This record gives sequence, C-alpha cells and structure tokens, in this order.
Amino acid sequence: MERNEAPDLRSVLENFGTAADFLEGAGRLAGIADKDVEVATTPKELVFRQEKVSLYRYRPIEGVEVRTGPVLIVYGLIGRYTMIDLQEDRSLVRNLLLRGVDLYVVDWGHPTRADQNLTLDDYVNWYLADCVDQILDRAGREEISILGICEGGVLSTLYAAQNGERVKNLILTITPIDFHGDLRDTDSSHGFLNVWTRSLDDSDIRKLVDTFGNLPGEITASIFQMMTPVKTLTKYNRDLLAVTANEESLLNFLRMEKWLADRPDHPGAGALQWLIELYKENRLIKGTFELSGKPVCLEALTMPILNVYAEHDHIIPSPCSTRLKELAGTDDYTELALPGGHVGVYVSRKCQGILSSTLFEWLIERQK
Amino acid sequence: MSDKPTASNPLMDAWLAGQKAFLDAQAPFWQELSQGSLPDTSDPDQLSILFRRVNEQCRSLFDAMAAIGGLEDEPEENVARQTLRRMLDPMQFSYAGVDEVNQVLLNLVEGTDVPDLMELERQRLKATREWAVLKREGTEYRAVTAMAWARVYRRFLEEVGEDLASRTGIPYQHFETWLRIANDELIRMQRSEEYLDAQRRVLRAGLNYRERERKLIENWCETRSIPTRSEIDDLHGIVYGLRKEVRALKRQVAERHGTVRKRVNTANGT
Repeated sequence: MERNEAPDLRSVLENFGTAADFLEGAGRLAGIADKDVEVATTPKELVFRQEKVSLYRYRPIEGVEVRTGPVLIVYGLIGRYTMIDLQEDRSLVRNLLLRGVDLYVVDWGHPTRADQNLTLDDYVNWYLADCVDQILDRAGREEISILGICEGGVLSTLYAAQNGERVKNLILTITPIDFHGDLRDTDSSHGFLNVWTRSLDDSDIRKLVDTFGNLPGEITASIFQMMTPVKTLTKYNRDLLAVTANEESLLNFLRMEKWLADRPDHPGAGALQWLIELYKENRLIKGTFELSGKPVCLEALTMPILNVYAEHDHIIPSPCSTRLKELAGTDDYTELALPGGHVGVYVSRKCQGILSSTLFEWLIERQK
Repeated sequence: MSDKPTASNPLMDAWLAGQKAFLDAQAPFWQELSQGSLPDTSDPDQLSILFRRVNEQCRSLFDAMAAIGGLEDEPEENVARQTLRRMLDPMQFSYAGVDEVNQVLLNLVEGTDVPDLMELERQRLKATREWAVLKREGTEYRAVTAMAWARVYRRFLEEVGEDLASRTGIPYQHFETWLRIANDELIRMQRSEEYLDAQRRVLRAGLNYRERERKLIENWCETRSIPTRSEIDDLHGIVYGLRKEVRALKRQVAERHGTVRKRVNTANGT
C-alpha cells in the first residue's frame, strides 16, 4: 500500500466489525435481569450467626463420601467470599465438595458505621474463634483445617499463630505475609497497593478512616481499578464486546462484575491496623504485630502449611507470600505456584483444576 | 461479490452505513497518518490539536452508532445512550483508571445536595478555603495525569512514525499499540513521586474539606437539637465496648459451667 493510499475498507471493517456484535450483544445484555446473574449458588446451611457474621456449612454432594475433617474457608474483609463459588463450572467450593471435603465458610457480612470500632483482634479472637468452636463442637473434633484467602489468609495466620492447638492444617492462598515483599518483585506493574499505602502518612490514613468511620468499599475498589489502568478503561467496551456474542460468556463476565461491585466497607479500626501496622510498618514479619495484647509470632505456626500464590499477582506480589517459608516454625511447608494473577487463582479453569486437586491430595495426606 | 451483498439483512445495511460514517469521520486523521504528516510531538499545541481531532472523530462515531441503535432520539439520560457515549468518549480515558480515587473522593465529599434546606450553607461551605484548596489540588493532580497522557501520545506517534509499515496497518492495530503504550505509561506514572504526591494532596484536601463541612453541619444540628454524626459515633463506641464486656462475662460463665471450650488465648475479653 502506498503511504497516501486510504486504509483498506474491508480490513478495517473486519477489525471494527464489533459494532454489529455490540448491537446484538446490547440486546442480549438487556435481556438479562439481575436475578439471572447468580453467584455462590452451591447449597449451604447456616450453622451459626453472630451480629453480621454468618457461618455456613456447604451441603455435601449426594453420593460423595466425606473424606476429610472440617475445613473452614476464611475470606478477607475486602471483597466477598462469593469469589470461591462464582460459577458452577469454576467453583473451588464445588470442586472440593466433589472430592469429599467437609467444607465451611465464614461470611463477614457488610459492616456499617456501627462496626467501625471492630479490630482485627475482634475478627480473629472473637468471630473467627467462635466459628471454629462451633465447627469443632458440631463435628466432635479437636482440630480444624483453615483455608485463608488474601486478607482472610492473614486472619487465618493470626488465628493459627495464637491458637495452634485448634489448627490441624493451615492453607493460605494469595496471602500477604511480608507486606514490603513487592520491593523484591521485578515486575514493575505489581504491588501498586503497597506503593500507594506507603506513600501516605499515618495521619492521612487515620483521617481517611476517621472521616468515613470505615475504609469505604468505593475507595478500595478504585485502588484495585487503578492497578490495571488500561484493563479498566477497556472493560466495558472492548472486553464486553468480546463476550456478548455468547450468552454463557456474557453471564460469566456479569458474575465477575457482580462480585466486584459487592465490595463492603472495611471496619475502620481494623483498617488502621491493616494499612498502618501491616502494609506500612510490616509488623507481622518483625514479630511486633500484636493481637489481643500479645505479639504474633510466626514461628508458632508449627502445623502443616500449604502456601498457594499466583506467579503474576499484581495485588499481592508473590514475594509477599513466599516469605512465609523462612518465618514459619513448621517442618511441613509446601508451596504451590499457580500461573496467572490474583483472581485467576479462583476463576481460571486451569488454576481451579490444579488448586482443588493439589489441595485435596495435600489434605488427604495429612488426615491421619 | 454482488453490489449489495447484505440486501437481505437490514441490520447489516445499517451497520455498514454506520461504519462508513465512522470511517468518513476518521479519514482525515488516518490519511494524515498514512501520509506521514505527523504533528511535531514536541509541540504541545499540535498534540492538543490532534487530541481535539480524535475527540471530534469519536463524537462522529457516537452519532453514527446512536443512529444505528435507534438511540438518536432518546433522552441523554437513557442508559444505553449514556453507556455508548461513555464507551466512545476519549475523555473518559483521562478519568477512569488513573483518576478513580479522585473521583470517588469528590463524590464522597460533595455528598447529596439538599437544595432547599442546605443550599445556602453549601454555597458558603464551597467558598471556604478547603474547597478552594481541594479544587486547586484536583487541578494539579489532573495536570500530572495529563502529562502522562501527553507522553502516551508522544510515544504512540513516535512508534507509528518510526515504523513506516505500521502506518499502512489497520486502525485496530494502532488501537492495540495505543493501549499497550497507555498501560506502560500510566503504570509508570502511578509509581512516580510526582503522582503519589499529587494524589496524597488531593486526598488531604478532600478530607480537610469534609471535616470542615461536618463541623459546620454539626453546629447547625446542635442549634436545632438534631443528633450529630459525632454523637452517633460516640454511641457506637459505647455499644462496642458494652458488647465486648457482655461477651466476656457470658464466656466466663459458660467456661465455668463447662458449656464452651476453654481458650488458651483469653485476651480480648474472651
């Protein structure tokens, strides 16, 4: 083509041919009601409720023998546990139930300004401790396995470090332990959350929390969006167009959106600990983070540990997770590196398969 | 190929018409690009002209797409119309992704207008120093992000300009190039001290304004015997303390009677 020749119309149309798709997809989108976009559909029963916190047990799948002791899934206060059961064909919950895992999950609910004084201590040694006791009583056991996710992994770690006699196995996924680990990550697109938090003075964080009572979900959501700037810009045009042609793909897209939109406020007092004492001061690895007036010692983690991280995690850079290997007191430490990013651990079909099978086999080996 | 291959498909006809309008609108831009008459990337004025031209082209595309979708007569608040406009508005690019926190803060700070009750107060509040500072810091923040977008443009033009073959490529490929460069530059910007400092100042200004606004509103409430946010927060604190005490006492009783498991860790009032 000569330099002054106009672009080839056909090739242009082929590549901008998404306009028709858009129109067709818009019609498909308009036909989907909110009730059609279901998440967390695996049947479960309420075991225990205390204020806004609920403990559920997933109903074992008929015909599948329960082969493990109780496993409690602990999600963080940022985001909702529904991520682990986003859709039927990519549900960690369903995959584990199919293998015979006795599965529970704690739902922290949606904290309001009335919950602004709740600390991480309260979540660990109050709500989580009560959930564990409920499960142990119900199952007639003395120990439980805990599967912590992201901030929930930190809560699980804190609980396990101070209540080791109750924790048979500790499974952590995409969990930050060394909050300055991003400085060792060679990918400069990772760890913006760490950089952003460290750039703030303590007084900025205190004022933010004082002003709103809690750490508003809108703020955390916006920080997550900033981490992938172009992805955020193209999500509702290019990415949406790419999935509207297929109803199932569109529904998957919308399920993810539903999960992303469901971002609770983080209780204020706990947010101060999270952002200042952990993200900024990195107290957990220094042994200076206190829970209920006692320092948390990672060496007290003597139970078997499975630490799962994502190789390309831009939210929790992998060095933040893998530092646990040096600090935990256990002799039975296993790492599993999964390809992909933070959320991919739970929504990628490939990761789902690896995660659920590895997790189950690891658990079975430690049932005796 | 027949003269009118889509005669039996009115949707395709409409779509092609729209695409033609889209391409017609873009023609001058791509023609300039293919002819190599690129603007001087070191001249901000020329970059500005180019950016304005892209905006105009996107507006043309919006009009064409709105017509295809039967949205041209819909009111501006129509959801589909709004969605389409957002998708095709390059200015959205300068807000979303990099400016999210700023936007969220401004929304939270501005709150809901109460036109009859609070308009005078609000007007007065907006005249306060904090408001002026917030606006100034917001502008400076935007300036930092605008510079990043200028760098995106410069790099984009340089890359396309250096690679003669790419000039004859299709717009979609240029779009992908644009996105790749934008991602690189925005991520780089986010980690710059200049950006972090600007964002920190916006945050502080927003929170200072919010604090001032709250004090004024609470003064107003107090003179009218209306409970204030601070008083309710105090109550939350008292209830929280009582909940912990009650819980600790109940637990002590239950442990004494052996109806709950004893805990090694008995701190936190448990």
